[in-house]
Amino acid sequence: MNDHVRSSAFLKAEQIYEHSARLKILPFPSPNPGLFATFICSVCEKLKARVSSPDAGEKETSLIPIFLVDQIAPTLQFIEGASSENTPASLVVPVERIGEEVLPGSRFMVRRQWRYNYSVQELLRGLKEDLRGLLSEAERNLLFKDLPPRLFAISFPSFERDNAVLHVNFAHEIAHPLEEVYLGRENRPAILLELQREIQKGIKVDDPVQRVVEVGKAVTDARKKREAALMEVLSDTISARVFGPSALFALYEVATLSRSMDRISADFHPPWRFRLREIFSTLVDLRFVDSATFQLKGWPTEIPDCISAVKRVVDDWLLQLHRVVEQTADTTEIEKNLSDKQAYDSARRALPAVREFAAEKVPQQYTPTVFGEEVPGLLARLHADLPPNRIEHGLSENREVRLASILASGWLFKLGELAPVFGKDRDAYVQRVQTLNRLVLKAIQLSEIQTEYAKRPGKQDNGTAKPA
Amino acid sequence: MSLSPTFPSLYKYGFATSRAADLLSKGRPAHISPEQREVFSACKDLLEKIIKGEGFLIGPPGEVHNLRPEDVEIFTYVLDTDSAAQGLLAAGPVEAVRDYFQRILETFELLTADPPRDVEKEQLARTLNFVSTIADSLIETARESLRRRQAEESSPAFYE
Repeated sequence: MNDHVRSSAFLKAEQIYEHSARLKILPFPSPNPGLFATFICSVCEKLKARVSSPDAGEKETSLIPIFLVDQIAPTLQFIEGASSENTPASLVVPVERIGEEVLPGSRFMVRRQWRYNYSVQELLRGLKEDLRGLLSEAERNLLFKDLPPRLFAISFPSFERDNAVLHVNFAHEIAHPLEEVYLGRENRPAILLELQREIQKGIKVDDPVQRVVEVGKAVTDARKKREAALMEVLSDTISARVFGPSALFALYEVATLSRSMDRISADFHPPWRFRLREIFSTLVDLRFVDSATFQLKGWPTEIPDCISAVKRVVDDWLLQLHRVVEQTADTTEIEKNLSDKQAYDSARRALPAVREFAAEKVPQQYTPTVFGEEVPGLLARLHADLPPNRIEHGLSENREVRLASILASGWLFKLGELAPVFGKDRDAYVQRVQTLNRLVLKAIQLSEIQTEYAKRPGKQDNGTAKPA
Repeated sequence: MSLSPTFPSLYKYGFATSRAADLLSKGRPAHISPEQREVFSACKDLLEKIIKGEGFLIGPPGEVHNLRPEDVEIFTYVLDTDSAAQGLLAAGPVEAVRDYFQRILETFELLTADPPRDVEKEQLARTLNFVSTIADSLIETARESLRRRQAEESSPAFYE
């Protein structure tokens, strides 16, 4: 029987190897997916050697094929989904660059996934940890020697590939890995003890073994919910610091698909209303949104009529959203459950520290002043069906703009100019949104080309370089 | 990347306990290779986490200054899995549970010593029983992880 398990595991490792080797030659927008494919081939070679070894016992041999199918085979979808054809290719390199600024020393790959979600996963550390039980330190060091310390896969919902403005959510995902730095600074034993004390009071189980197990599970549950709440707020805050109000627009578009605005999800994610309230408040703190009128700030005093109309619709949208976040149905829902209440009481106390941490790690890269300088001109370009990549005033002033401004102009155009079209002519609406997406992606591509051009010797001071 | 629904570092400790069980089932090793020492060392690391989790959930709380959240999860899982530990806790006093894990930890300390030190036959049998129980359970948890991953594939609801 053991020989059958051995041969089956060997064959699986060989098949995964061959698949990865085939994927490696696909065209990718960055070198990272190919690097990862090469690594997966090497892991398969190691596992083939391990199952062939006479030292491998019965239990070890039975776990290897499960490991191959559960942990190694799924990595193939990351490589395949990262090909140029499967991604918004012009956005990949700028997103990777933001990631490398937020998390120095890390590398990124952007890939599609079939689940409707944006997510981030570190691909190497988990595998390195898993393999600690199987391979010697020398073997592991050899296996990982050509790789960066961390390689993150940022995933987006497959069919949204061309929905350029929604990809503002990438900034939220890029920020997630900072959570372990934040949590590492907390006094976790003290926080766990605090949760345990309150939970023990509420657990009604007499059996001594079951009581310990139930308390352990409830503390773990509360800890995970607390951390998930803090981490989502941390990522949303950083997303707002990188992309300004677009972070709220993109978050809301995903929130509208949720089953409930007020419940904690099965995978511990906080209620959407809680997150929207917090990001709204962050945009007020960052001075993008006025604290009294809840309208966008930063506009120049004089703007053309077509842009005034956009501004009015967006301001009305923000006012409606403020009414949504003013309601407290999420808090009522949380109060119903002992561990949820403890988790959120503890999380709320930590929120100011989370915001401070976000500001320390990611200085505000996008300000209302820059928004006001760049976005109205870009909206005018979109109005004229031109890519929103530059500000042009004759030949003298002619410069590239920030990625955040390109995406903000896309969002404002979509919400302020195109959303009203939907009620009048749905076909026209779809066509115009598709055109908007193409213009935004084209603007990002042109902006990247210009950035590369500006880096060439002698080109730094020609007035066309993108601002830092 | 690891998907371990109820046990942190599922595969690391799954492989470590599986290999330790495979090795110890052949009797006390006369010679221990560097690779085998790494396996026993990983088991020792697991036992240290279990003992910290036990200190947190059973006490005394003063012993948990360097506790990690995964220690709580690991101890909860082990207590839910290992009938020997359950029997000791049900019978009381709680110190017996601590002593039980402490003695298994000592076995791995003896096996990872250089040169390896002698381990009583009865203690070796108890340690083998413990790592076999945990390895079997982790293999089952890995199968469960695999089932969950398969269920994650997005698909519409089909009616037959």
